[in-house]
Amino acid sequence: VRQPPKIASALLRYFGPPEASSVGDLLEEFQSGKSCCWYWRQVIAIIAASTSTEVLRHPVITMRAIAVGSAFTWIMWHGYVMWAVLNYDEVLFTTGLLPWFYTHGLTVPRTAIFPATVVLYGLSGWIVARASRGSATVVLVYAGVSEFLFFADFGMWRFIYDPLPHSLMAILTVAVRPIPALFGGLWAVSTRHPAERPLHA
Amino acid sequence: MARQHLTDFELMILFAILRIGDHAYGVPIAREIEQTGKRTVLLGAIYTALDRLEENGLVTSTYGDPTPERGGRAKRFFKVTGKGLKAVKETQRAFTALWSGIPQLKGGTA
Repeated sequence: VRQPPKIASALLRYFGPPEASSVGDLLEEFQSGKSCCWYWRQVIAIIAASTSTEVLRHPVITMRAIAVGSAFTWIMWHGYVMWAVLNYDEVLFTTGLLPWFYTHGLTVPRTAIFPATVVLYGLSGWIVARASRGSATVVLVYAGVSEFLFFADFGMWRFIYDPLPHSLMAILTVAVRPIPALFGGLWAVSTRHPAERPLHA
Repeated sequence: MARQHLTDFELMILFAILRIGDHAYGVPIAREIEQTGKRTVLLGAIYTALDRLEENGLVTSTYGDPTPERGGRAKRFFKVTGKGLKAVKETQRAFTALWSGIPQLKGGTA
């Protein structure tokens, strides 16, 4: 028995249709001698078709989950929460809570924005999954939409105005940001309690 | 207003199901379209169209038994309903009406 590409199969398991006959058709064709390239092409097509079907069937839940996830990241950026985390020494100094860090020069390096963004978008993916009753498809859509929203809202200006190496950091942040959102969301999907009613039930 | 006629892809799928008969599921439908219709198709596109046809009552589906070569997944067999047959005939009539009277299409193939 030939084994189909593992990553493609994993993607199909998470983002494919809940109804399994199309996956069975795919495996049957692959066993009859189709190539791995063919399998990947079919998996992408099945995921695209399944995603559009699920979004059209549950537009309110999809939009609500994406809005909640986007609002969370927007508040974190524009509500200065991320700034406060990355500049905690100044915050603690100016508020008078704990000036010790600032007076001793213990600051967070500029590059900390990279892991902080990973954590932030991982959290946002988790929130989107919870808000969509554990739908991996909605998480996938959110990862795509958030990339567009982030770039329109924030990333574009950094590309234009920031000198290097900040622009390089912005490029890296923009490029890898949907990945933690996806992983955070899929983690929430895989740890969903069996008693919770799934979106496509 | 409800859609009266089928798309060419939906029509091809209905033709394929009718040609195959009782054992029409995703794989033979795709093969039939590829071999007879000379068109490369994606299984995802076929299932999207089949779901749409089923929602509109043009086909019905039943599940078979799971098999090992399919990773334990059951086959989903499709049948064209009476409404589906009527839609095929209406679409054929519309195409024929459009086809006739065009001088460039008279005599031989394109």
